[in-house]
Amino acid sequence: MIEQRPSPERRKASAALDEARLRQQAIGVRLRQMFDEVVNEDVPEEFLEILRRADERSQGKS
Amino acid sequence: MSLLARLAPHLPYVRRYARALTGDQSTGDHYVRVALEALAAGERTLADNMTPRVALYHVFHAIWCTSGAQLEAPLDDDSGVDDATRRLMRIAPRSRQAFLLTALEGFTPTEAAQILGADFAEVEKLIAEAQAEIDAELATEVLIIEDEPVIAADIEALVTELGHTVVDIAATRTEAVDAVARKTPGLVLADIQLADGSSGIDAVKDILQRYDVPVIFITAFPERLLTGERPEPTFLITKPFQPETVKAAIGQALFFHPRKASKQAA
Repeated sequence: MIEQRPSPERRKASAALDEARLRQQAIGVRLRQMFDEVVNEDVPEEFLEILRRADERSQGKS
Repeated sequence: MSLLARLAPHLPYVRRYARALTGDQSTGDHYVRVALEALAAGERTLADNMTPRVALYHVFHAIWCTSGAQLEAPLDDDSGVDDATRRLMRIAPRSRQAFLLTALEGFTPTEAAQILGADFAEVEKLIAEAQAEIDAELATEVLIIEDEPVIAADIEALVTELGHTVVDIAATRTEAVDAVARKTPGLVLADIQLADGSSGIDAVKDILQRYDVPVIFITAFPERLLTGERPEPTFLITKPFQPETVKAAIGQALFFHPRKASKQAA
């Protein structure tokens, strides 16, 4: 007979993991608030420029 | 599709991740810049089997773990960094990444595994390790203000399971104030309606006048807190409670509570 159900140890580990993820999400929500301004501010122009130059180079090649 | 069009929407988020991971925006931006330059120079490419966002984080990860993660030095106590950031930085780099990718950035464990070049089982292990490190970092002494012995015992078991120590269980406002005078707790869990008709809200107000300590109210009468003046900083959980909810609130309250302020006030 093939045992389909996960072992009790496996179930316990998986419940512990679900709980850890729930608790980490509670911290994550507050971290997102803390870093709101990073997300809302303009990305440094320099970063966009690096990508723009790369795009121009690859267009030039093709 | 151009690199710019594919990646621009994700840059604010990878900057946030870099900031959280390195503890500092200019350090984080440095690694984002190096990752973008590596992409632009063709030294790294966006993996075809990943979404652009996952692929970008994957490249950032490759850059950071070959340089940044190894250069990381412990933060000085006077470095002016807030306590939440300090607590983040105490988590070992690889478990910190798994934690931030899932809990802050909202990636699934499968996506986090792609980003980290790990398998699913390793990500699960890293998340568990991050939690163990967070629990150890936050472990503190807890005062329970609760007049129903059965509920007090439930709360005590749950708090102990998280690695905290229950220093006292107070059933009245007077007992609570006395308990705090004997031993300042790092966290207070409080019911509102107490045995002798006294109020947990008043008990907490007394305590907060003297000590800066996070408070979580666990109550069957949440409206009393919502309508009355609510002492800050507090959290509110409604009875009957789910143990996971209480545990999540405890972690959140402690992780973001400034430690220095409580020292000064004590």
